[in-house]
Amino acid sequence: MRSPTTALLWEVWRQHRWTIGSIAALTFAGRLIDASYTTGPAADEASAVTTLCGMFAFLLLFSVFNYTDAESGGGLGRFPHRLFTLPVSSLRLVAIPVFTGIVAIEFLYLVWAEPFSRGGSTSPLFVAILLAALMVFYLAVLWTCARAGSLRLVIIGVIAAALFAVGLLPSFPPTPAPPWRSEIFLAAFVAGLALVTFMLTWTYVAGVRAGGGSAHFRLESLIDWISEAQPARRRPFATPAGAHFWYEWRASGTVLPALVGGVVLLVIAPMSWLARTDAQYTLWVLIGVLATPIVLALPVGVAFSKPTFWSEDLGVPAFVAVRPLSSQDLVAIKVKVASASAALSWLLVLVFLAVWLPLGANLELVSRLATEFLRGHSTGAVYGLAVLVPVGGMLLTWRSLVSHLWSGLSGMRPLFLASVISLVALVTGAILDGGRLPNWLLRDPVRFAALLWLVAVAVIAKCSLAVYAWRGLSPRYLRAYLLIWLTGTATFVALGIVVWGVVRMYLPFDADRLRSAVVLLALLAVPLARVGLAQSSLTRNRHR
Amino acid sequence: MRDHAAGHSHSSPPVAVVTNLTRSFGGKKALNDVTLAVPPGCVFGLVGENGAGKSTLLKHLLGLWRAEAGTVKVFGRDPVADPVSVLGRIGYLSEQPELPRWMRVAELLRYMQPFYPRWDQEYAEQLREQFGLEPEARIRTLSKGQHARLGLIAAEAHRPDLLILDEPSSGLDPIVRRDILEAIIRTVTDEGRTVIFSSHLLDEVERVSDYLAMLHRGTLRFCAPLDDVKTRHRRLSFHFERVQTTPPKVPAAIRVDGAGWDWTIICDADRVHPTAVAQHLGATLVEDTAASLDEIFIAHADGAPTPAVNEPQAVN
Repeated sequence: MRSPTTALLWEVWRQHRWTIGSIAALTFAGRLIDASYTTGPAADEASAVTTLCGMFAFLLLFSVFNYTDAESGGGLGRFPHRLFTLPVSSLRLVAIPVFTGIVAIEFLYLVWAEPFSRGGSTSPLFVAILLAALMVFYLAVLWTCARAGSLRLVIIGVIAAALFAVGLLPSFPPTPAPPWRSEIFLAAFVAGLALVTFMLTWTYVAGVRAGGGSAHFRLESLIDWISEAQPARRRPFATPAGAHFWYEWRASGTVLPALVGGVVLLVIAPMSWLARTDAQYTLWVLIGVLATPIVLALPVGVAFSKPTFWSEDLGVPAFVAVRPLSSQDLVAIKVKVASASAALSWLLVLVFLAVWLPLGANLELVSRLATEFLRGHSTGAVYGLAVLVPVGGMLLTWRSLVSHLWSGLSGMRPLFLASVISLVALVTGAILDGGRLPNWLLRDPVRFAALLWLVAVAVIAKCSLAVYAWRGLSPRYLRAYLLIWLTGTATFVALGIVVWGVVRMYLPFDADRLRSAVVLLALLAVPLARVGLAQSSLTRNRHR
Repeated sequence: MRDHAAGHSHSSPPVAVVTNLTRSFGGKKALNDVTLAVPPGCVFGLVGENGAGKSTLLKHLLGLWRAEAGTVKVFGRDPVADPVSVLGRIGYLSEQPELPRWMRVAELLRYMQPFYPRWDQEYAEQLREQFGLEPEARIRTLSKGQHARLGLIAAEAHRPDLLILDEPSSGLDPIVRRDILEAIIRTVTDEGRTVIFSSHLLDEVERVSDYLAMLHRGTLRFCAPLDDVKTRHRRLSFHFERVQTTPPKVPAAIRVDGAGWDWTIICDADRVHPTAVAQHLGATLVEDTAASLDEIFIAHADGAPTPAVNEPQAVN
C-alpha cells in the first residue's frame, strides 16, 4: 500500500467486495430493465422492479459503510479502536470513511438519478445533498452513539424518514413554498447541519482516542441520560411468566411503539401541520398514519421472531434457555408481548388522530368519503366499524409480529431466510401487481373458481396443520389461543364483509363473486398452525 | 471440604448420571461414550484441555444439548424432557455469563427471584454489597470481574441443589477467583449441595474438588475421588547407565519424559511395581513420588496415546 488512506480503503473493499459486487449487479439489472421497458404495458412493472433494485442497492451501500468493529465479529459495533494505534491523525481516520461514503452514495445516485427523478419535482442536486447528509448522519450515529447499541438502527431509521420528509417539504401546499421551505434554503440548512455533525463526530472520536475528553463525556452523558430515562423496575415480579414478560417487553416489545411514535412525531406530525389546509393531503396523511404500524411491523416482525431481537445469532441465549420455564411458556410470553406492542403502537396512532383530526386537519374530503362510505348504515354499525378498523389494524400489526415465530425460533437459518424471502416476495408482488390482480382473476370465471378452490384448500390445510402443530401442547394455551384466533378471525370476517359491501360499488369489475374469497382469506389471516409450530421450533432450538 | 463430602451419605442417589453419552459436531466426536455419575454433596471438578468436551458435557446436564446417544439424568429426570423441574434446582455460571447488558443490577436480581421459589433476597443483597455492585448500575457498565460476580449471585442466590460452573475463573483476577472459590466452598460446606466445576486452573480444582474427572478429546480418561487420582498416579525417575536414544518402554506408562541418562515416567501405581520396572529397564530408580495434578493432567492430555489408566467408571 502506498499510503494509509489506500490501506484503509482497501480494507473496506476487501471486507465488502461481495456486497459491492451485489450493488453493481443490482444497479446494472435495474438500469437495464428500466431502459428496456420505458413504454408499453410492462412499463409499470419495470418501474417497480427498477425502484426495488435501486432501494436494495442503496441499502447495501449503507451496510458497506457500517464502519465499525463489533466485539462478536458481526453486526453493529463502535468506531474501530484498533485504528487508534496507527500513525494517522484522528481527522483522517474519521474523514476517510465519511468522504468515501459520500463519494460512493453520490456516484450511485448519479447512476440512478434519471429513473429516480423521472416525473418528480424535486431537483437531483437537492436529493444529492440530502443523501450526502444522510451518510454523514449515519456514520455519526454509529460512532457517537455506540452506547445505544442496536437502538442506533432505530435512530438512523428516524433520521432517514425525517430527511425524506425534508425532501418533500418544498412540494407541500401552499405553493409556491415560502422561502424557508425552498430547496436552496433546506439544502443549505441540511448541509450545514451535516458539516457541524462531522466536526462533532471528529471531536468525539479524537476524544475517545485520547482516553476521553469533555466532549466525549458530554455525549456519553446524553446517551446515559436517555438510557436512564427508561423507568427502572422497582417492584418484584409475582410470577416467572411476569418477570419474563418484562424481559421480553424491554428487549423487543418497545421497538415497534418507539418506531411508530418516532415516525408519527418526527415525520407525520410536521407533514400533517403543513398539510392542514389541504383536503387531499389530509386524506393521504390519514392513510399514512393508519398504515404506519402495519408497514413498520413487517420488518420489526422479522427481528421479533428471532430468539434475540438485535442479534444475528438464531440460537436461544443461555440466559433464557436455562430459565425454568417451558418452551410453551416462552412462546406464549412472546405472543403476549407482540399483543402489547401492537396495542401500544395503535394507541399512539389513535391519540395522534384524536388530537390532529379535530384540531388541525382539513376534513372536507375525508368527511365526504366517510358520508358516502357509511351511507345506509345504522349508527350502531358506524360505531362498530369505528371499532373494527383499529382492531383490525391492530390484529394485522400483531400478525406481522408473530407469523414468523415458527421459523425464527427454530434456529435454522435456511428456514428463517426462506420465510423472510417469502415475505419480501409477497410484499414485492403486492407492490408490483397488487392493484391489478383482482381484475386479472375476475376476467376469467374459471380462473376465479380455481382461486376459490385454492384458498379453500389452504384453509383446510391450515386447520389440519394446526391440529398437528398443537398436538401434545398444554390445553390451557390451546384454549386461550383458540379464543384469540376466533376473535381475530371474526373481526376480519366482519370487517371484510362490511368494507367489501361499500368498496365493491367503486370497483370497475363484478365484485360480488369476491365475497366468498374475502371470507376465506379472513379465515387465513390470523396465524393458527404457525404459533403452534413455534413451540416445537423453540424446543428444538433450545435443546439442540 | 473433603471431610464434608466424605461425611455425606453416598447412599443417596447421584445428582447427575451420564450413561454412554455420545455427541458429534460434523465429523468430530465432542463426547465419546462418556459414563459418569456425580454424587451429592461434593465438588466435582472437571478438567481437560480446550475442546476436550467439558462445556459440551455441562450443556447436556443443563439440557441445552440433546443426547445424540446415551442418556443424561439430573435429579433423576431428563433435563430436555423436563427442563422446568431440573433447571429450577440448578444454578449456572459460564465463563462469559450472557447477562442482558441493558438491565440494571437490581433489575436482574428482581427478574431472577420469581423463577426460583428458594430465592433468598437477603442473601442476594448481602452478596451484592459484599461484591460492591451498585444496584442502579447497568450491566453493560460493569467490568469483567463485576460481571462474573453478578453472574455468581444470580446462580447462587436461590441456593441451588446443583451449582454448575463452566470455567468461571477464566481471565479473571485473583480476587474474583477467590470470590468464586469461596462461593463453591460455601455451597457445599453450608448446606451440603453439589457443585460441578470445570476449569483450566488445576490449583483451584485441587483446592476445592472432592472428585475429579478428566476429558480428553471427548473421552473420559478418569473419574474418581481426587485423593484416589493422586494416589494412583506415581512419578518414577530412573537413571540409566547408558544414554537412551529412545524413550524406555514401560507398558503401563501414561507419559515418558526425559533424555539421555535420566527419564521420568508417570504411571498407574496399581499396575506398575517401581522396583520391577527398574530391573526390567536395567536402570536405577532414583525417585518414586506421587504425581502432581499438573503432571497427571499433562500426562493424560499430552502423553503417549496409551489406553487410559482406569476405564471410565461411574463414581457411586
